[in-house]
Amino acid sequence: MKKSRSTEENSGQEPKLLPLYMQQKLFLILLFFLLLFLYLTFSIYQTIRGNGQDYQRMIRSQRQAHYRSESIPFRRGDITDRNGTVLATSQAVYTMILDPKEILDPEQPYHSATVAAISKILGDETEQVEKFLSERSGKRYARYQRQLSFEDKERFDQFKEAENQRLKKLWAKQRREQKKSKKEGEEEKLQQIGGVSFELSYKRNYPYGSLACTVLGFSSGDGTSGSGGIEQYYNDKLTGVNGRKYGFLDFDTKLQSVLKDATDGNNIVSTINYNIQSAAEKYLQEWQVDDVGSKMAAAIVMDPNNGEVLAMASTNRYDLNNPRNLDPTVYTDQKLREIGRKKLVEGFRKNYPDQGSVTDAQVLSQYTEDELKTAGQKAVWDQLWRNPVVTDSYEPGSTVKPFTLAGALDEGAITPNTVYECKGFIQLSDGTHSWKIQCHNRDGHGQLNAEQALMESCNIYMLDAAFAEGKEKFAKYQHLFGFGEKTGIDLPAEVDTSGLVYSADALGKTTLATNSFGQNFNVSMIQMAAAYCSILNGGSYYKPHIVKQIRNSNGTVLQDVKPELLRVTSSVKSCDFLRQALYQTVEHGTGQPAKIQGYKVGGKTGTAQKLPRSEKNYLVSFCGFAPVDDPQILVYVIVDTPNKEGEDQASASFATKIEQKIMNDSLQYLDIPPEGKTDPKNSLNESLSAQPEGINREGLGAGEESGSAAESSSEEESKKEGPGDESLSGEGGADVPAELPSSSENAESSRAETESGRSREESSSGTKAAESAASAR
Amino acid sequence: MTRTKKIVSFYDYSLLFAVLFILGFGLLILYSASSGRGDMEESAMSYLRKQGFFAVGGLVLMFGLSHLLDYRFLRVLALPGFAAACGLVLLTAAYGAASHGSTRWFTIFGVRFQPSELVKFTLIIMEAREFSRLGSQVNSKKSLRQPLLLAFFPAIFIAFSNLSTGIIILGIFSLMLFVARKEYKPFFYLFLLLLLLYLAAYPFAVLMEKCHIMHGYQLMRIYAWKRPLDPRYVSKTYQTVQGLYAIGSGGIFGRGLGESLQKFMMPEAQNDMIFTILCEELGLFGAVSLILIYLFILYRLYDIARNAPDLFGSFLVIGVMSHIGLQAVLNIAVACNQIPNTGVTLPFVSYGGTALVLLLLEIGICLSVSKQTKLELR
Repeated sequence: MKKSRSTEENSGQEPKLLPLYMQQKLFLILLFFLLLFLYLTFSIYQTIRGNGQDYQRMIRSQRQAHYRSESIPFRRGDITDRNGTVLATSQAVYTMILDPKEILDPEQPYHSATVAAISKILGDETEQVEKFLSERSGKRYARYQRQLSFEDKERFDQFKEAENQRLKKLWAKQRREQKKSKKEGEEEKLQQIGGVSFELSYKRNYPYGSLACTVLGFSSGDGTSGSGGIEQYYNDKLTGVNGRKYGFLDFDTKLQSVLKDATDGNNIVSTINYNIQSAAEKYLQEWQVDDVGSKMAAAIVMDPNNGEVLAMASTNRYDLNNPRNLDPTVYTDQKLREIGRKKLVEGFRKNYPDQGSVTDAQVLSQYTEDELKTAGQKAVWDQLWRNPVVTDSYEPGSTVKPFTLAGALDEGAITPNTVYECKGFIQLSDGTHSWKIQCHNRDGHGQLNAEQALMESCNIYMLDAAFAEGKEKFAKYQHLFGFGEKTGIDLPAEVDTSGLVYSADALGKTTLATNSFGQNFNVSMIQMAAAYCSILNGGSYYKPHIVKQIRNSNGTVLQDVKPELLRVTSSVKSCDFLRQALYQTVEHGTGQPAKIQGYKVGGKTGTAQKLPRSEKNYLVSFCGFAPVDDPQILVYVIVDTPNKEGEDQASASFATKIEQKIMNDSLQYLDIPPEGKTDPKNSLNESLSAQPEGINREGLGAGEESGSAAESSSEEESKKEGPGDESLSGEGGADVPAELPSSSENAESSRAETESGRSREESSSGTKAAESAASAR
Repeated sequence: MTRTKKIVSFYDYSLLFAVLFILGFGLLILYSASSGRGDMEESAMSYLRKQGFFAVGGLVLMFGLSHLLDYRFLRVLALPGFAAACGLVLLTAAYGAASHGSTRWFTIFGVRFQPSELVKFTLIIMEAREFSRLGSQVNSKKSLRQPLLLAFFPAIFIAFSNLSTGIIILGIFSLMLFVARKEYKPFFYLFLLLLLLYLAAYPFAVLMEKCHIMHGYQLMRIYAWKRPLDPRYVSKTYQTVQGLYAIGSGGIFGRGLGESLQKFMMPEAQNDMIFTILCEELGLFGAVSLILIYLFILYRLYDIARNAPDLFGSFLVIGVMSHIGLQAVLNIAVACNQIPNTGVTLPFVSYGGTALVLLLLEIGICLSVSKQTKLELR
């Protein structure tokens, strides 16, 4: 500037070469530009001042379309068995998202290259991709293909990158060549792959298909809810929180990108032992398919020392990966409609009991064929998906006898040496009525002490012991052992049996008698198993549980489920006695098929006649444990209605044999040292021709002293019916002893089920007390 | 200071540094504006790399021209250069016609080359030679014919394929002529005519349509200019509207360098519309800064022209001054939607190798003129 100033100085002194008018005009040009620039500056200022905010908003809305908010899904936690075998897991799958508008935009270089890439990587026809795109040409978001694996996505991404580089280079080369050859005209268009993105989601996978199906349950497609089992009960632990990725333009139209990572769900370690679970399912299936089979059979394996469930299985099986898939050969449309019809009529009768005049046909006329089918499907699913071990209740039969003895022993009503005589029957009378209750051995067991009574499963001894104990104490012990109460196991839909057990006040003489050997009150398998565990471990009643540990997605332990001691049920002395007595039961008594060479096994059989008694259906069971001196495993098996005719069903050995096999495998899986020489054949192939625990045919009277205190609730939820109350109200009549005629067997089954009071009356008039005695062996 | 007379050759470093500064500034904005598009095509740096290559080349030529050569040798080169440039324009047009498409490009040694840019450059030299040759004769009407024809023939020819370049050529010539001739009146009338055209274009167009003399589509360009947000003209005004959004959202101090969003929306962000990106990123402050640099360069050129040792030098610098001033004003006016959209580039800033090299050469000539200016220091 210094020099320029000096030029200015010069100009004043020396005449310029440029004529004055030119200088003036030159200055005018400079001024002209200056004014123009000033005007433009003003105009820029106007644009900013007048419309700045509006334009910001326009830009924001214009750009916003480019930043789609994206949800990042959480991963539902895994469920593993106690040793880490994965039973349920979530696999990452990707959905290919296309932006048809962008891809088809002729201004964009994406069309042909992208279509080619999709068809190359996914193997789809080019026409198919083109069709998909053209059908959605205006859309910006279209799910092209779901459930691509991570490998597919990687393959596409890698191909896209390489191909885009290659196309770019090719294009640049073509351009250079075009320039060199001085060709003018239309430029070769750049081709690129684009407008494709992937969305992550998770797919629930159960690697072992139907294994432990009723324990695990299944989750919904999006992984936010579970149906049945652990998936349902622990849903809030398994689910996480979705993350979110979104870009937005803030007030200053700065791009803000926000990424909130998803919180993955927790992993659940269950107490299930994969091997034992498989064994249980295998043997149940073996029984169901290759052997006699039954309406339903179920098993539970527990650790008596802490209430952990090692296996829980039933013959209700379905594929967890495809829970709604019904075998079309078994469940034809015809059959489904039939089931649907039945279900709908039942539902109507239940909801409108006073609408007796409406016929079934009238009820069904409201539904279309499809609705009938849907109702049938639902009914079948409900049946398939239910977990009989916790949801179903039934009359247990003789397996409760140890609890009767435990109560009587602890209360001092009897001692192990107390002797009662079994004459094969007993006559109970209140003065006006009398019942004859029979033991399964019609000839009588003669003189028995407590241990022998258990070994022989003598009903008369139990009844005498219960009478000696009194009804208050008997009822107290029922509750101590958890009957009539929920165990609180961590599985959904546990049956509420509180209405299916007599209170002390309602216990009449006959009901006390029948309750003492396991008839006329309902239990669930989990109640039975938990109660047995308390006797086996010396009287500690642990809350049964199926989840051992909850870990977060990184594997950090969040919660260790410790054994929860709820109460003490029985004295150590009584428990020791009972253990030995149950050992003797297997060694020399009714439970001999449960023997395993090399191990000391104890256990108790049970045979219960089901309601309605007239149908002569039985539920047989066996609860075994080993080793006797320090029980490590408890296996409880029930077989509901074996596929045999009438009294042929009543053989507890059906259940005992299954139990024996499960126990044998479990002992080996848990590496429990044998106390003697084991059978090299694992005793699995041993033909178990133990003496039958069948029903004494002669003992099978046609009737029953009183109707059911409870119903076999496997069909319906016991809660809703409240049969306990009804049965109690009907008890007054039943309490009136009478020599019941043995002729009539006309109790109508349907009525007996729905109207227990009436059924009781009918059955009391037409049945003999002996039946229950016979059935409860 | 000594009192002895000392002849010092004057070299305008102020101009040099102003040009270096605007060049650096321009490259920075170009990088920001082109990175998005560049990334899509090759790499984010690709446009910057090419422009940088031309900038360095141009600077070398500029220094070479200003230091090694006296501008007076251009007198000799003026006619052949101008003839060659016009020939190239004809050739390109002929080639374009042959390949069924109008084109402005000419590829030489693998570099795309715009002959019309060369016409601007050579015309300045040619007209400077003409005016300096004529001297005071320029005021007579008769002698005016030759310079007039020299400017109008190529300008009108080019205007067919590239209206804005034609207008700029005529503009440069008009301003040079304005300085050369003594009279004011015709230029004043010309100015008034242009002003009237500018102000009356829109009302006239509306009137024409109302009277059903002309149809809407014929007046599209004018309507699109005056009603940029009208959805009927979206395809015509897209660039303009996006540019206005950019300017408007930039505010006083802008979003900050590299923060432009509009550069992704405008296909010509690195080219004609680069000024809007500058406004968006650096705001009114950045725009005024750039305008001040232009004004300073224009002032320096004014100073050099005033003190040039001969008329040829003066007219050379006046031509360059008109060129830079006109292009800058027209480009910014387009960006602000003050005039209808024409494809004028922003000197030293917009992407384009030919234009940049030729501009730097022009600056080199001006520096050479300044170097020949002798100062007598006392």
